[in-house]
Amino acid sequence: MIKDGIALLKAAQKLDEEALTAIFDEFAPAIYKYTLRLCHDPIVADNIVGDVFAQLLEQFSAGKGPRTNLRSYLYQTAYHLVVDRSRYNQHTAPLEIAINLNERGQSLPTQTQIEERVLMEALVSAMNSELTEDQRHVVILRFLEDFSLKETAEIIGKDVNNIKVIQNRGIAKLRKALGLHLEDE
Amino acid sequence: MENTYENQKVVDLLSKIKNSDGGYPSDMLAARRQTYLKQMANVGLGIGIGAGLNETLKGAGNGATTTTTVASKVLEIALITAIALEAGTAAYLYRDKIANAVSSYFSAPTVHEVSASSGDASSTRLEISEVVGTPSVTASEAPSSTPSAPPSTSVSGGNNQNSNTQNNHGSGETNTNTSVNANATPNPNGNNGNHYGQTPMPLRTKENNGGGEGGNNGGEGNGNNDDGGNDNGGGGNGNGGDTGNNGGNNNRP
Repeated sequence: MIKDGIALLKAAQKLDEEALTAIFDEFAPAIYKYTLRLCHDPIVADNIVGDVFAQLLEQFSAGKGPRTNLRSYLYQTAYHLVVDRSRYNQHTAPLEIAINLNERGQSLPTQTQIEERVLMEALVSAMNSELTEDQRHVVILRFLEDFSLKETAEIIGKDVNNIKVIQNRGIAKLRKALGLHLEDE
Repeated sequence: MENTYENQKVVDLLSKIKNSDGGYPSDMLAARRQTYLKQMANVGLGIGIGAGLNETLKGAGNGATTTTTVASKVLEIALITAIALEAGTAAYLYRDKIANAVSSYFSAPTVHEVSASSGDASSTRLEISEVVGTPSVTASEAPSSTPSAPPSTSVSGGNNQNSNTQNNHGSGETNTNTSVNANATPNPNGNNGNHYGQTPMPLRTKENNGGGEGGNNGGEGNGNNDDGGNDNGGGGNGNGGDTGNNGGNNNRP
């Protein structure tokens, strides 16, 4: 079992089946989540995951592909695929699908859980309606996928300072959108 | 400060969203994983073939000279065989044209040089020793004739055959200028040349006594051609001179 990230990447560059399978098992769920947050469609997210790993195989077979940061490379590929799809296919599926999928089959929520869920739905709604495309990407990558500023800048293809500005503006918009709810609390 | 607190509240809410998001459905994940494994197998097969070819090329380049030599020989033989087959096929397809070309090449008009055998050196006959083909000579030959058959030659005219015989009486010196030109032979008008036995006898004069006869004899001897004739004439001259001198001496008062 290959545990080291660099060793895993080097083995994958040599098209080692074990390494490639380990990469898929480790990153496919995360890429799916990230894509689902962006495109709001589980089918599209699944297809994008397939495209991301197909491109990874092509790059490795051509002697290319990531050399250092595999995770950033996969997210970057997914980001570009989502952006390309959004240009030709305008999906308006609600982001709540992702949240509701995890909560099916559960018992009746308590009052606190209901309040928290309302707050989270308001946040998700604000992310979808109030934020710009770049702000939403930066917020998702920074706070939902735990990427650093540098990694986020590499994925989106912008400067780190620019990412900082976009992040602050996005957070400010979300704070304003949730202000009423916070005041209600 | 208040904004920082509120921002931290927003960030906390975002982290809760992160934890509460749904994961990859198991059925979709399994299907996607199977597809990925198939793609991986295909890519691995392609890489395997490519690697095998590379290894083969490397092995051939390193030390398998015997294999390379045998392969080159086989390739050379195959190429030669292919060329021979192609040439044979082309020859079979165009056999008629080839036969026509060959026959036309061998049936081209030729001029044969005919030289008469000198035969008897003492013979004084004038013969046509050479026939030179000129543009006025037309040679025609039937296509069915063999190359060794002499072509029929027709002389259109212009053949000159000059044979001048000068008899110097007394000295016995005879110049025979024989030039044969097949192209410029004039109409002989009954005179077919001075041949042996047909040369008119010179008239004998009364003043020539003895010596004159000798001269005549020499003249007859010089009727021959070329070297042999000169030798015989020389003998004749000598005899005639002796005779003439003797006669002259006798006639002196």
